[in-house]
Amino acid sequence: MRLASGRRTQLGDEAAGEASDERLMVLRAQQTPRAVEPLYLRYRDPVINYCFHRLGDREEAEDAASAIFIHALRGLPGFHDRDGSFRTWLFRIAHNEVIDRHRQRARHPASPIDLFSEQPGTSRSPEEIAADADAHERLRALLAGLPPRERDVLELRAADLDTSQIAAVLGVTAQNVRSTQCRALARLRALMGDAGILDVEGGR
Amino acid sequence: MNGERIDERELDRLWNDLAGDKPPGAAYRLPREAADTVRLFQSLASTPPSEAARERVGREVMAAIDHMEQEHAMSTTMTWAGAPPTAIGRVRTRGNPWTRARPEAGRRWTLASLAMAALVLIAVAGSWRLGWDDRWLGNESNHAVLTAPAKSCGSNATATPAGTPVPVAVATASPAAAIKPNVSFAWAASGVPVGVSGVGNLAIDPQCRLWAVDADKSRFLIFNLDGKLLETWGSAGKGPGQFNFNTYPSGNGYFGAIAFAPDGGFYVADDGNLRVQQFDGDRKFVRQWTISDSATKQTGNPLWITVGPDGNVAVSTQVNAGIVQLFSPDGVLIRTFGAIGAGSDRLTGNGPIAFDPAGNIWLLDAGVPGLVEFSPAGTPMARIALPSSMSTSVYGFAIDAAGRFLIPDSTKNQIDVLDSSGTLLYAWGAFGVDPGKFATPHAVFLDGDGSVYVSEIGQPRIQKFDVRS
Repeated sequence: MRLASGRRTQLGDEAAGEASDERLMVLRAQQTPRAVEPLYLRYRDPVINYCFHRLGDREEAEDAASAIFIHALRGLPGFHDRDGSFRTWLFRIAHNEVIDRHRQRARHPASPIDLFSEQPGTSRSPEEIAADADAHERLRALLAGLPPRERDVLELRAADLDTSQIAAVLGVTAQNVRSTQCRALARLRALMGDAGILDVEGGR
Repeated sequence: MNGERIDERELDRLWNDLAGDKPPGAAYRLPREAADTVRLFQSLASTPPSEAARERVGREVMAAIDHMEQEHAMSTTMTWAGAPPTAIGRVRTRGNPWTRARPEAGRRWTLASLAMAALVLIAVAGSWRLGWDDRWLGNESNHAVLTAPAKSCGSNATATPAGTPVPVAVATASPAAAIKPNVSFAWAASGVPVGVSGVGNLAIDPQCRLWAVDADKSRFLIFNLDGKLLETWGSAGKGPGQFNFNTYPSGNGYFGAIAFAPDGGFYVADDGNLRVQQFDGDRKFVRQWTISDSATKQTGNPLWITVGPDGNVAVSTQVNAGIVQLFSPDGVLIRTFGAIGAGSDRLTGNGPIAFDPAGNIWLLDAGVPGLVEFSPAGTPMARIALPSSMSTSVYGFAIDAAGRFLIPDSTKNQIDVLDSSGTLLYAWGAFGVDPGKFATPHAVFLDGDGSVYVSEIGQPRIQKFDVRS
């Protein structure tokens, strides 16, 4: 589930190489703020997308993404790659930023807007776009009905984090993530069946 | 959508990644119809943001980089001026090739250097309290204070169930640190009900019982000081004696706080219901009041609450025009202070609060992280910058008898101990489930006998530590 480029292949090699060159990028950025560019470009789209999905408002998501990268920039000198990757650390900042923004707008709930408007340059038919947008909206609505922690786990999954990374982002144990995602998937599949998004007959 | 082709290997990996980390004994297999679930997640994640979004975010980040490079130049100046480092292990790079490459930036650097030289003099004179005017230059005598229940509770506790306390590894700021803290794990609370995913704010009542916020069920868990669950109290709802602490997604689900008056009465920051509830010592509802926002004419959220030595009740809110609202014991608003905004005497964010025995109020400003001291009249007296080595995810702090700040760092999963000038003295903890480790520590509470209670929201646990310095 590579966010920026679509499909991931040769996962092991790619992940190992990514971790290695990422460490160098972090070291450089710790010495010179401007050297953060490759890290920024690597995580820009995933972070913006994560904020879109969590906040439901394009403009606020952009504000949040900016704040996340600025927090990360300021925190980089103190970042130690001891027990987690830069990705984990960055998404922990993102998670906290989203939570803060939910709190800040508690008194002014935002109405959902179109998060999945088609981007210029795509060649899909209007019917395909409409079908996907509809499914996205319905899925988002269903996700919103999940308990907070279950939603957290699934949306971090959607942001391409694995169990241990999600555990680190949420500050919970890996076992907690596993049991939460099992509950969330069971609940979501049932909801999708009820909503007619998914035919759950003959499932597990 | 069932008819669309999906790469089987990719689907296997994705679904197994989503559902395959199964608990022991669970019998999952890959269901065909799960294809759509996975596909939807995949498309959710891979829908690219617009170019306009990319450009806007990029512009703001670049502006921040420019600003940081200016700060970087300032930091170099401070090092040159002989000022002590403000962060442990912080990387500092001498020289600034960026400014040499850009003459206009070089001019800014020169001006910044002059400004910073002046700032260094002020900072040194103020023992690293960043004082821009007299109101921000604090009084040291106010720092050696005790924020803890007036009554000592430690002597009432029986021997810990765990028997001999377990020493906990402590990281000191430097090997030559004068303080050699001795931190030992005493117990982890037992009997946290099934279904509670984490524990929020803490307080100890005059009968020496530990109250903890159960945000999942909007109630309180009440323990004795040996960590045994005695009872639960309260329920979810909007009536008297009912609470809403689980306000996610409009809130973050881990607020809700309680503070006790010396007579056993108590006040609850009922975050989701936008009110403060007052109860007497028999837990009978007395009254409720709301948090007003004079700027927006709306009702604000009470986030943190504490009772001062004079019985007044301070509430930390989300009201930008006045983060702190001070009430009389019967809920009459006395004053509002601590506005968010630009300016040396303004806050940059809301955060937890604590009284000291002198009646001064400390607020942990979560925006640009710092501890801000206010007089009872609401006048800002001091601002202490937190070390940059600390994360910005800091929550319910406490002040010990020596005036040190104990601050839970939820990102680093440790408890940081700072002296009264904000210098990091030592820390303990790391991520984990073992004694002395944490999964998102959220609140710290002291019992006045050197014991420290820490709640965690990443797992349903409260730990007690004995700290001797």
